[in-house]
Amino acid sequence: MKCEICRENEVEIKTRAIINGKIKEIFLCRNCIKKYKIQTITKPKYTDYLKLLIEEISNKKSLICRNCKISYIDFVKNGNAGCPFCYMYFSKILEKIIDINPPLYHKAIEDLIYKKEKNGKNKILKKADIYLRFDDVDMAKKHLKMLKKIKENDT
Amino acid sequence: MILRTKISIYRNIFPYNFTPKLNSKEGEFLIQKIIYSFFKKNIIKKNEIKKKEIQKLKNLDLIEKNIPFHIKPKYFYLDDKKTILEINSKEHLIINIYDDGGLIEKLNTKITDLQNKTDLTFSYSKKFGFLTSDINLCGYAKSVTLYIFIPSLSLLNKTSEISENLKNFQIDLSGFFYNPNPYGFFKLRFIQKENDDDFKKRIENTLNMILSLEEKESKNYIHKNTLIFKDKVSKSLGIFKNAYIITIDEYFKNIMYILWGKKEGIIIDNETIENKFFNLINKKDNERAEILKYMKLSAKI
Repeated sequence: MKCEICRENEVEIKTRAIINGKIKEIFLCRNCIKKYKIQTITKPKYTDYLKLLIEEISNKKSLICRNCKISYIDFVKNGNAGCPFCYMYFSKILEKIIDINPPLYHKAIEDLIYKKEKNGKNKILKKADIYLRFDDVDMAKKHLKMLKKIKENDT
Repeated sequence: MILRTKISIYRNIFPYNFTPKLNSKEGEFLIQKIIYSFFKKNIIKKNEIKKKEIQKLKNLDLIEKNIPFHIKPKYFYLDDKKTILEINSKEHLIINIYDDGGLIEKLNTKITDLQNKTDLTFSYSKKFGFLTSDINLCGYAKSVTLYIFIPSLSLLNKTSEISENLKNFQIDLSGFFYNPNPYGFFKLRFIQKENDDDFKKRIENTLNMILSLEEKESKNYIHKNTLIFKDKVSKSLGIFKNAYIITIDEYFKNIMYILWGKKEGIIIDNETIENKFFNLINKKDNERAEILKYMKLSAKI
């Protein structure tokens, strides 16, 4: 049997490796292991999953709501959001959990800073117009930049 | 038997942090802002609920019990005293509306009218609906709680099985007033996740299922144990008429048989029950008095 990477040398090690986030069994020669610095797993299977789990958690640890500083881990642990912007920062994950057709309401966060033009594109409203749409101008000023950033990231 | 219906809507004001992350300055500002918006439309006058009464309302499950401690919430009655505004408790604004019996539709229109009258900007996103600190509530952010009396299912220990099955449909069935044995007094809590029509259907179907099962089991039980049942009802009524001191456990056991007997037409003596209720209320036993006040409502139905 030939090595799965170089297809030249005979297989010397059967090992499991994490490839694209999934654990796969592969057959390799010693040269390829040295050349590509492949980490071979010799420990029991559960550690592989643990490693994946740790990797996933550490990735999500970096997810933090910039407004109220609540992390995704705390958010999941307690089931509590800190502010309306948490829903926007964690929207990609929340979309998978929350499956809902929301009721209609005339004041959506998205509509407070954007206006739809005739060609269907969203245009950012002038500052004065935005402040008019908020009840509290100071709070509007404080949150305006953040809203824009979130929207830019989304697009 | 439906004793009471309560509908609550949970709203947050945009763009303020939710109550667990709200600072005291913003909290105070929000209280003023919300009160002013209701005051402007003549919806509330100076009807702030006093501290003593707040604990009673918590005992009766009419307002939220667990709230973030660093913010002081405020509570207001509306004119009819059957609508309670909670400001800065679990969410910025919770509107609770309740009434005796199962008047879901009437209460629903009343609560949506009230919400539409205010000019507040609620936290709402097109993807997730109304945003709340509790992610289970987000979307419609509305819950309907029905207080029901199901003595035979409770006596035959069938409620835990029903409760487990209902959990799969995100419906909560649990005892109220007195745990672990609620003596037939249960509450059914629905959180709205679908449109109004489908939500109504879900409530109706669940209620029909439980109440028809209760009726069937009740008839079976009385048919098999007619004498025993009549004896228990009469004894309970006797204890209620003549006893001076009864324990809370005894109290609930007796009241269950009295209400059950009344429901099945064994007791017609309405006046004695109500008089006895009033006499007990006047005694200095706060907790029991509160429960009794509630029971008086159920006895009328």
